[in-house]
Amino acid sequence: MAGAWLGGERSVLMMQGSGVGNCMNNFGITIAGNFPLLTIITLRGSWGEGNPWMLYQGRTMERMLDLAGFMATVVDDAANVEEAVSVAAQTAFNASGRMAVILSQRVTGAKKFKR
Amino acid sequence: MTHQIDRRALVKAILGDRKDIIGISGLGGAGYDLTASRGDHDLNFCLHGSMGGAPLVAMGLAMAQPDRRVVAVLGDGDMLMGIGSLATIMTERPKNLAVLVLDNGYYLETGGQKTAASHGTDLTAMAAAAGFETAKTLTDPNDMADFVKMIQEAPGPIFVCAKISIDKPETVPKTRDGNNMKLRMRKALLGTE
Repeated sequence: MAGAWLGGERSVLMMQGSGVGNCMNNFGITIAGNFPLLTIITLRGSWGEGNPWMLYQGRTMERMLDLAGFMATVVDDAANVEEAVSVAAQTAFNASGRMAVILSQRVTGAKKFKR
Repeated sequence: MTHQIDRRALVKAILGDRKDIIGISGLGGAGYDLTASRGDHDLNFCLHGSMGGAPLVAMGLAMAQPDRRVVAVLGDGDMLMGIGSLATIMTERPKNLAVLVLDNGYYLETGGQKTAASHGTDLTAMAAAAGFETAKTLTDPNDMADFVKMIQEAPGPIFVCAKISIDKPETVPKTRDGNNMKLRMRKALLGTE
């Protein structure tokens, strides 16, 4: 993401919530270099979750983003996704913000597990 | 066998006279090598953290600036931390990207603990397995000139693991201000910050 910005391009980091835990150390470059960062995250481990292994990251992800200096918006209605992404992109790229749009499983649908 | 490649001489040979090439370094000694090669240059960006991230910063730059050569320089410990980035690079295969690993087999910055490279891990083989068509190990100083030319010009993505000596050269003054490094590179490449 930082490389794209250095070269004059915009980019978006798309991941499942568990990716936030993996990214924590590398988010440092966005702070040290005041880089813009827009991320769109699908939130496992929340509404309707059927896999207990996902609950840890689902419960802690927003706090991790806060610690890493992000402003986060949770979207739980598909009708609001476009506006949320557009507004977050403006702040990310015009104000060098670290912006996260989190799509709850009310938007993406929760995976169904048999028992 | 003791590794023989002189890290400073290698990086200087690649970038010293090629101020058009974008240089991204990982943390630790690689940043000093990049800075020693051509000073605190506008097209240098040295990571001082975000361990493992340098090849991906270079990948993003290579995609955004397809007419520029981009060289990532990092240590073997740094490469091991971000080893998955080799597979990520293969999803786009930027032709203008070269990844140069300076491999002494040790985490010198933290006191000289052995990396997995000292225990038999072959980083060049890992790059080849990730899909790099050009993945080579530089061990013989007599081959350095050919490797320099390859890193500067051959169609990428290229991966080179240079078996460097364990010596720790003198540090050189360099900025650690990430915002400044970002703004000066954007100005040099884009004409605007």
